[in-house]
Amino acid sequence: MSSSSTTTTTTRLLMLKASDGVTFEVEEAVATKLGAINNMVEEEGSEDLICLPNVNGKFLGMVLEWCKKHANNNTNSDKGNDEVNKWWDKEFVMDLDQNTLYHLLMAADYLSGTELVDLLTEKVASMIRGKKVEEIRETFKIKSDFLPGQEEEIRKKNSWAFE
Amino acid sequence: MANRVKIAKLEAEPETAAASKFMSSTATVTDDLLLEIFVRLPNPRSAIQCSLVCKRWFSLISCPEFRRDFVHRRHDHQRPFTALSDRLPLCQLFSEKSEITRQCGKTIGYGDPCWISQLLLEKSKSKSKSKSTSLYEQPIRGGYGDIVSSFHDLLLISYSLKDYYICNPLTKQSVALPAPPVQCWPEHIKLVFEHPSCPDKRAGCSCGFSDSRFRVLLFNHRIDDYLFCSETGQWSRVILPFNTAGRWIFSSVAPCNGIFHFLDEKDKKLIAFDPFEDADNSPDRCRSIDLPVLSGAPHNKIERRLGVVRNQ
Repeated sequence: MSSSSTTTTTTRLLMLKASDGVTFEVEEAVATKLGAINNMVEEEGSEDLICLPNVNGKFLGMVLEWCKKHANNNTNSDKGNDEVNKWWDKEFVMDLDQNTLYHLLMAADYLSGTELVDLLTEKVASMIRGKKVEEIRETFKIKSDFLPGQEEEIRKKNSWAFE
Repeated sequence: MANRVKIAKLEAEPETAAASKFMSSTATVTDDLLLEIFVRLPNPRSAIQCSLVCKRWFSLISCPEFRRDFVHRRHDHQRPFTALSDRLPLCQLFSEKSEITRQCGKTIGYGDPCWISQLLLEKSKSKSKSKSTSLYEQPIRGGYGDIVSSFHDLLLISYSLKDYYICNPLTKQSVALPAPPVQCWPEHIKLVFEHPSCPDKRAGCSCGFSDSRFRVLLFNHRIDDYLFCSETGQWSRVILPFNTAGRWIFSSVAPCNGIFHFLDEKDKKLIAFDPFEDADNSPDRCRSIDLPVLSGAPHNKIERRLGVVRNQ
């Protein structure tokens, strides 16, 4: 195959290997939605096997699923693309449990999937929105580590926010 | 026994681990990611509430960089009214009381009594004024007031010739200044803040008065000039290193970076006066900067002043 220099997009396949040894075969156009992989591809060029020791196979799979959807929808010159992407994103994060959300976020961050990080942080923010302090702690199972009195002091200082 | 407890804890971990890992003080989520999350909160109220969740969240949300990003993000996303928001980006944060925001959008004028009264009436149940020398924050007082000076996001508001408050429209808190020793026209009073922790002056994060030092300069045509010092809580006479009598157009004073800048009409110079430098004779207290030739016409004066504030 000597046609690699032609302008038509050749669908090069990359092998991504997760921390638990699971490998994924994905098109370059899909994997390069992730900044980190895009960099690797640009730097190393010929290397087709990419090891990702920080990402578990389960979550890498989900990240790639997201990439695939977005890569596909972007190549479509359909006008309603944004809408489709939005709808799909909504579905994607809708029923995520915190554990998955956490690991996805870490994976997306590690792989520099900026858009996905945006989506996931937005999801977390939506879990915080409209909740009272105690409810947020409850949701994320966080224990207050303020010293006695400290919390009260901050509350007083910003009393306008707690009316 | 101790071992057993440990094991029990370890076994219990898988259920709660992810959740607590997510956000707590020991969480493995990076600060950057947490900030990405916080910056998506709908309003300052929500952010402040979050800051109470744990120490780590508190320190992240309290940092000036975050507040700057937070404000800017909102600023970029929605520009309901331009003239006012250019001056007071935080006004948009009144969105919780959207009625006020809309009214602001109509009136546009900066220092417009109409606008400020709407702002103030929102919070009309005022507490009685403080008589002591120590300043404490209180809800913004209701009634008519006039913005006489502003610095970053803080406004110096006058209710009468003796009654001055510094207020923060974001937090709706204010501090009352003790009555000045002499009466003067409100436009002769200027406010300047020092923000040691906040080097980026675009930040717009001046939320608490108690943490910042500030000076209010009252300059008087004929008699003495006075300087109010936030640490002592008192007015004191100040000898300005130049003769104020009749030389100043008062609109051309620009408080900026903790320094008052005066436009000296006569000598065509910009004079920088640092009210935080305590020694009267310190050479650092006052500098004079030559102006480019353009500064003569009144129109240029006004533009120059704005330029100084924005571009430091």
